[in-house]
Amino acid sequence: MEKNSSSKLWAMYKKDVMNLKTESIFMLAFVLGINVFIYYRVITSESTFGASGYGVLSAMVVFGALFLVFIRSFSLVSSEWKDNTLHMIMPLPIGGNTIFFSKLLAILTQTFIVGGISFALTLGAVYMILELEDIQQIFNFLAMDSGGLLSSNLMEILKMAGYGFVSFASLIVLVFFSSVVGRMFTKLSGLITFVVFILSNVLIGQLTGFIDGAVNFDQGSRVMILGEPGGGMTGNMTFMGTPELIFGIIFTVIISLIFFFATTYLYEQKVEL
Amino acid sequence: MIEFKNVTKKYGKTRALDDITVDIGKGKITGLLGPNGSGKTTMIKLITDLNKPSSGEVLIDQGPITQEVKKRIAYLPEIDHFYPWMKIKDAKNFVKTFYEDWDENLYEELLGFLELEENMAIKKISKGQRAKAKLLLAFSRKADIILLDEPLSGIDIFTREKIIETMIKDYREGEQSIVITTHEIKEIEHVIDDAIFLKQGKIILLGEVEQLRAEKNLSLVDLMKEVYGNGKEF
Repeated sequence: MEKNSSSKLWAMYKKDVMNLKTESIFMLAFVLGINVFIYYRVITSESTFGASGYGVLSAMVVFGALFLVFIRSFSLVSSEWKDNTLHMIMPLPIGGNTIFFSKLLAILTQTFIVGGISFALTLGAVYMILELEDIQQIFNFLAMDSGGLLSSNLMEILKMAGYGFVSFASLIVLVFFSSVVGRMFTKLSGLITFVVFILSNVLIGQLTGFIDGAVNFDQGSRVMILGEPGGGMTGNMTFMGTPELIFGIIFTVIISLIFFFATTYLYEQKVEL
Repeated sequence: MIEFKNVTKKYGKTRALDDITVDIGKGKITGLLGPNGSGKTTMIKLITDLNKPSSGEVLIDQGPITQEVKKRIAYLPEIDHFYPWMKIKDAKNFVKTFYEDWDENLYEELLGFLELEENMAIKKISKGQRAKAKLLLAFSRKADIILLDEPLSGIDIFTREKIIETMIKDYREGEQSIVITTHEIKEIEHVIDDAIFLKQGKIILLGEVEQLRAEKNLSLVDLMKEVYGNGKEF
């Protein structure tokens, strides 16, 4: 019976999720520990940051968890060499597309799970710590200019999350690319991976700047404005205009596809054991 | 069936294979024999596409090694290649997804024959059991080509016998090709049809085992001692 490509992708995806399972549990335990620590420090001391302070602190914990996911993505590729599991993968009748797409999906799944649970845990801790008026302040901020279905601030947060997700996926593709380039060398493989990762990011940054300039987008509008000076969380938030956002997402996807196919080409044609 | 045409493989300045030309016949058990570093594993890696030739070409049925060709190859590496979280049933479920020639009945039969259990965590079992687990995955398929890289290395005598029994148990002579690399010539002498002796990346002797024994009036073990011990080339 002919094996279809979706069942092969699913098998590869399950395998990659299993490879990330233990680390995900450790990451979540780490986030939980930090939240418990913050909660303990707050209830046993007089210090209080207010809503903005806790907002920043909670965002740091969530971004910290996502940073751990990002760091782990390097080893998801390199461990295939280190643990000799590439001897199981390379002889399989599948191409590099399936191998790296399954890894990308697995890391994005981990991002959703670790990021989501970290966010929920942090939200819970912040909720227990904050005074009622601070929570009210946050709701007011999110509900500001609520003319349509979503308030303008909430809309900007969703735009930021969407763009952030696409950018994160793109970053993971660059991790794969640099890891595969690094593995083509027997010596200084780790250093080469790091240098290629930095250089490819610089290249994309230059290209983005050039194209932004060519289509005359306002660079200043990419800055997030949180509130007015001294006004707490009362201001309007601006992330990107919709045309810029669509352009940014399309550009990021195209660049990611180029690097993705370059990765699979190198894997199929140049990588050896 | 498996052709090496003027194949050279270099790792840096080292020539692992040096202008090899050989045709490994269909439907036979072929032994790639030689000391460490003679190029046996490199030949296997080139057939599985784990390595690419520096020059020359490796062909299967006159064509390059594509994904379609890989569907017909079962490969048993010398090293442990399982993921640390895998139980035997996880490895089975993973591998069987990719091959149309997977035979569940054969798997069940071999599982019992090799005295393995599906719930065994691979990283916790002995080296001999891990060797059997690798063998289980390779021989549960009705693959046209089976490549075994040092399947007897570091394995006790009882497990070796079991491995050899497994090899010949369901072997389809004339249809299935098995290529085996090993130092343990004594154990496989009675099993292999053809032998290829390698030394420093070159083929120094090859032929049908029966014919070689008759011509030289030596057993394969004595022949190997003569070839490598005396440094004599045939």
